[in-house]
Amino acid sequence: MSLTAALLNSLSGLRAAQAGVDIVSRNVANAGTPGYTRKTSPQESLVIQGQGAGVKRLAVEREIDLRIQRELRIETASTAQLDVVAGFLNRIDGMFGRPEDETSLASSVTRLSSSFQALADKPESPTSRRAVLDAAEDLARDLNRTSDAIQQMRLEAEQGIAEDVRIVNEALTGIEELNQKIAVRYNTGRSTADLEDQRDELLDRIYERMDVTTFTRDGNEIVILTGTGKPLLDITARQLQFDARAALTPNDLYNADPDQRGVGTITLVTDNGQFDLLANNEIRSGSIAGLVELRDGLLTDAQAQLDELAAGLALSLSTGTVRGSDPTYTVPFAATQSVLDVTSVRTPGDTVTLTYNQAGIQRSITLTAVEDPSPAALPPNSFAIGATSVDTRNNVLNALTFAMTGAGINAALPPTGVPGETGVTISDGTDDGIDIVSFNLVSQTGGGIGRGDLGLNLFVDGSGTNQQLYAGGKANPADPFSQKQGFAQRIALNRDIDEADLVAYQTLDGSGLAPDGDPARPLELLSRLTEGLRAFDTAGGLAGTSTTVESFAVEVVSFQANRTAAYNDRLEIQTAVKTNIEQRFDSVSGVNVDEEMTELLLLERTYSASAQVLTAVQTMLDELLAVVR
Amino acid sequence: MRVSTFAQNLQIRQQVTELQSRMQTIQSQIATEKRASSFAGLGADASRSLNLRNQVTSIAGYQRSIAVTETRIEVMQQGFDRSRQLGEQASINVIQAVYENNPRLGTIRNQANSQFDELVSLLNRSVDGRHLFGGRETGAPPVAPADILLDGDPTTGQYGLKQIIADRRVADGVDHFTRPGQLSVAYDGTSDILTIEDTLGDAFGYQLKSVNAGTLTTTTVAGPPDQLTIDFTNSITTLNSGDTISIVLDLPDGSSLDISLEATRDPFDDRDGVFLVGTDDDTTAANYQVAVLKALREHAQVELKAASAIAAADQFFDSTPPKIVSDPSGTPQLVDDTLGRAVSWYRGDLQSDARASQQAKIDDGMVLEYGVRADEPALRDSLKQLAVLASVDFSDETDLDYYRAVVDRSAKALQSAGAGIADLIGEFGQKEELLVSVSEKQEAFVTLTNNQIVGIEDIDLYAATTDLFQLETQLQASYQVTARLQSLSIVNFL
Repeated sequence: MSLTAALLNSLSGLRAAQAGVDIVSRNVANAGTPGYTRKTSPQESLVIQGQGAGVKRLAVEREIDLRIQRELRIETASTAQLDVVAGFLNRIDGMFGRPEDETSLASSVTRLSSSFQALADKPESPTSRRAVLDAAEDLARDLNRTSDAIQQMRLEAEQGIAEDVRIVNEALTGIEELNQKIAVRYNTGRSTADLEDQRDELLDRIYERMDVTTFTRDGNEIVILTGTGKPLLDITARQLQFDARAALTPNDLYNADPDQRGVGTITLVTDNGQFDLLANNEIRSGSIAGLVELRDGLLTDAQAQLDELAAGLALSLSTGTVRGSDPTYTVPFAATQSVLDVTSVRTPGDTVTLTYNQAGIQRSITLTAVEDPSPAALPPNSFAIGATSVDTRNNVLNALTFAMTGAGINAALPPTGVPGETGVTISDGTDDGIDIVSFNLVSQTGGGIGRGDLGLNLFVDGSGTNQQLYAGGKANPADPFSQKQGFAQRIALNRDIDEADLVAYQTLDGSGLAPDGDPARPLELLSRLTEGLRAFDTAGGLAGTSTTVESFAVEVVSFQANRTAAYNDRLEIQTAVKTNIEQRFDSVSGVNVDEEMTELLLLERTYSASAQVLTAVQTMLDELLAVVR
Repeated sequence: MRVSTFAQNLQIRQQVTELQSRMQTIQSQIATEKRASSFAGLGADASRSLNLRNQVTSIAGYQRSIAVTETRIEVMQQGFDRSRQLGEQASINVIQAVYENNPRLGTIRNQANSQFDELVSLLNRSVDGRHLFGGRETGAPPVAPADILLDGDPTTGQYGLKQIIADRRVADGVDHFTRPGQLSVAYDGTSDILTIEDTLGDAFGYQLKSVNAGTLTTTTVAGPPDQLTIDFTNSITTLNSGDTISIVLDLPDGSSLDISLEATRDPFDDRDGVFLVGTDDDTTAANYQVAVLKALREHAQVELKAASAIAAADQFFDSTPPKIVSDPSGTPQLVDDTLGRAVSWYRGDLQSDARASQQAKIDDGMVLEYGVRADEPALRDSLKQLAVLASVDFSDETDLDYYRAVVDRSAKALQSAGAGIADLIGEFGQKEELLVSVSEKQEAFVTLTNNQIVGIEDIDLYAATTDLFQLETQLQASYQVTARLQSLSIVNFL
C-alpha cells in the first residue's frame, strides 16, 4: 500500500465522476428529444493483478425494453397504414360536400330528375329544356370530376409508394453502415448505445412503411427480413425496386401478370432474380400497405361504383323499344310478315321478343343478348352479340330458329334473313291458327329510334368528336376491359342531342315528331330515374341490387361515407393503442430529469470526496517531505 | 412505475391537444348547428340524410308542378265558366230578340259577333306564353282568328264559314224555284199518280222520309233516287175537306219537317196549306202539286235554310280539315277539303287524347292528366253555334221565321253544349281538389321529413354547450396540473 496508490485511486474516482456527469448532462440535454433513450454507464471496482486500483466506468448502455419496442413498432405500422387510408378516404368524402349543401353526386342525380319534372310542366319552354341539358351536363361533369380525383389519388398513392420505397432503401443502406460501425465498436468493447439509437431511428422509418421482422446476431448486428423471411438486410442491404407509372387511368390495374399490370409493383432483387412483394402479399402493414390498399382496392372500388352509376344512368335513359314492321299482308306473297332490324342490339341484356297467337292464346319467345361466351356454351334462350350487326343478326336468326323449333312454331312462322343484311323476317304464309302479334327488340341503346319510343340517348361515352354510344359490354370478346370500366370518367352529354330532342319523339303512327307541348318524354325519363327499377351489378364492394338510379346514387355516396367513417373510427382506436404503448416505451427508455439530478448530486459528492482524499494525500506527502528535509 | 420527463410532457401535451380538438369540433358544431361537415361524419345515417333530402327535393318539384298546374287549371276553369255564360247569354238574347213583340233584330248580330270574338279569344288564352286549349300544340293559338273564321283569310285566299254556308245553301237548293230543297214534284197530267223525287241523293236538301195520305195509295221507293208517289185515283170521292196529306222530310241538320196539306172542297178557301179537291182526280193531283211545291218553297226559306246553315257549320267545325261542297250549283258533293280551300278553324293538337295532352307529375307515382282541347264537343259546339249566329244576317224583318228557325236550333245546341261545359267544370274541379289534397299531404310530409333531417344532421345546442363548458373545465384543470408539475422539479429544491 502506498500513498501513490491512494492518489491514483482518487484520480480514478474523479475521472469516473466526470464521466458520470458527462452522461447525466447528455441525458438532461436530451430529455425532450423523441426517440432518445436514457444512457447509463455502470461502474465497477478496478482490479489490477489482484489488487484494487480505484473505480472503473464501463461502456455506456441504453435502457430499453425490447418487447415493448417491438410491440410499438407493430402498432406504428398499423397506425401509419390506417392514417394514410383514412386521409385519402376523407378526401373522397369531402368531395361530396356538406350534407346540408346538397352538392353530392346523389343530389346531382336528383337535380336532373327535378329538371325533367319541371320540363314536363313546360315542355315547350326553351328555358326548361336548357335547364335539363345543364343539369345533365353538370351530372356528367360531377361524375368526371369525382373519377378524375379518384384516379389522381391513385396516382398520388403510386407516387407515395415510390417515395416510401426510396426511404426504405435509404434506411436499409444506412442500417448496413451502422451495423458495420456497431460491430467494430462492439468487438472492441466500446459503447454502441448512440449508434444503436441512430439505427433504431432508421429501423423505425422502415417499420412505419412496411412490416418486417428483425433479429440481432453476434456483434450486435441486425438482420431484417420480410414478413415471410426474405432477407432485406443480411450483412449487405438489398434494394427494393418500384416501377412507378407516370399516369394512371381506370384501366391501369394491378395484375400479377406483368404484361397486364398497369401499375407499379415492388420487387426485391435476390440472388435468384426478382421477387414480387405485392404479388406474394408480403407487405401487410405500414403506409405502403395502406397506399397499395388504396390504389388497388379502395379507390378502384369507388371508381367501379361510379362506373356502375354512370352506366345505369346512361342505359336507363337510352333504353328503347324498336318495333318490327307491323305484320301486314305483302303482295305478291299474300303472307303476313314482320321485319325487325337488329342493328340496335349492342348491350348484354337487350332482348328480342316474338309474340304470337296460337289457337287464340297469346304466347311469346324472348331471347336475351349476351357477350360471346365462346368457347363456352350459350345460356338457354340467348344469343351472342356479334362483332358486326350482320353477325348479330345471324346469331339471332339461329337462336330464334332453335327456340321456335322448340315451341313447335318454326314451320308456321319461319324466320329468315337476307344474307348480309341486319333484318330478321318472320313470315306467316299459312292459315294454321298461328299468327304474329308483334316482333320487338328492347335495346338499352335504342331509345328514341323506334316509332313511339320515349327513350333518349342523353349520355354518351367520350366528348366532342370522340363521342360514341355507350353500350356497356366489350366491343370484342378479346378486349381486356368492358366499356363500363372508367365510364364515369368519360361520360358526357350527347352533343347530337339538342333542346328539341328532349320533347320531340317519333310518333307511334310514324307521322313525324310529337308537338312542342308534349310532356310524354320528360315524364318517361323522369320516371326512369326515380321509379324505374334497374338491376345494378355488384360494384366495388357494393352488392348488386335492383333499385332506381336515384337510390343507387344515394347508396354510392353513403357507401363511401360509411367506409370513411369506419376507417376514421379504426384510426382513432389504433392511435389510442399506439399512444398508450408509446408512453409505456418512453417511460422505460426516456429520461427523468429528477432522477438525473439525484444522480448528479451523488456524482458531485463522490467528486468532492475524491478531491478531499487528494488534498489529504498531498498534505500527508508534504508532511513526510518536511520530516525528511 | 418510472415515468420519463419526456413521456410526462408528451402525455400532457397529447391530452391538451385532444381536449382542444374536441373543443374545436364542438365549437364548429355550435357555430353551424350541424353535427358534421361531411357525410362520413354522419356515419350510418348518411344514407338516411341523403334519401330524406332527395324526398324533400322531389316534393319541392311536385309542389312547383302543382302550383303551375293549379294556375293553368284555374285559367281553364275561368275559360269554361265564361264559355258557358256566353252560350247562355247568347241563347237568351237571341230568343228574346226574335220572339218579343217588337223584334230587336239589329242587336243580335253585333252581340253574337262580340260573343263569338270573346269565346275565340278565351280559347286562345295563354298562360306564361303557353296556349292551354290546343292540347300538346302549345306554341300557337289553337283557334283561327274570329274574322278569318267567318270571312276567310284574305292573305291565303281561303274562305270562311260564311262562304261554306252560302255554298251549302246553293247545294241544298234553298233558293231553287223548280226543285226546292232538291226535290222535284212531277205530275204527268193523266195518270193520277204524283211523284216526288230526291234528285240529288242523300247529301243535300230535303230527304224524303215518309208519306201519309189517308185513304190514298202511296208508295216509297228507296233510291237512289229516293221517290214517293201519291195515287190520286178516286180522290174525287174519297178526299173530304179536312183530310190531310202529310209528307215527312229530314233536313240537313238532322231535324225533320212535316209538310201537311189539307184538302178542301170549298173553292173559296184561300188559307195557306190547303189544296182544292178538283172536278176530277187529275185536277186534284195538279192542285196538290202546286200547293206542295209552294209549301216546299216556303219551308225552304225557313227551316231548310236554317238547317242548311247549321249543317254548313257542322261541316266546318266537326272535322279537320273541314268538309266543303264542291260544285254547289252543278253536281254538288261533300268532300274533305284536302286542298285547303277553306280555313281550318282548329289548329291545335289532333292526335292525343285531350286529357293526356298535358300531364303533371304531382306525387310519387301520380300523374295528373289535365289537357283540354278547343275541339272537344262541348267547347266546339258553343263556338259553332255562336259562329252561326254571327254569320246570319239578322236584318230583314220579313225573314223573321227563318231567324226563329235558326235561333231555335242554335239556342238548343248552346244549351246542350253548356251542359257539356258544366261537366268539364265538374271534372276539372275534382282535379283541383286532388291537387289541394296532395299538396297539403306533401306539406305535412315535408315538415316531418325536415324534422327527421334536423334530427340526423343537427346537434342539440343545449347538449353541445354543456359539453363545451365541461371541456373548458377539463382544459383549465389540465393547465393547472401542468403548471404545478413544472414547478415540481428537484432542480427547484437543490
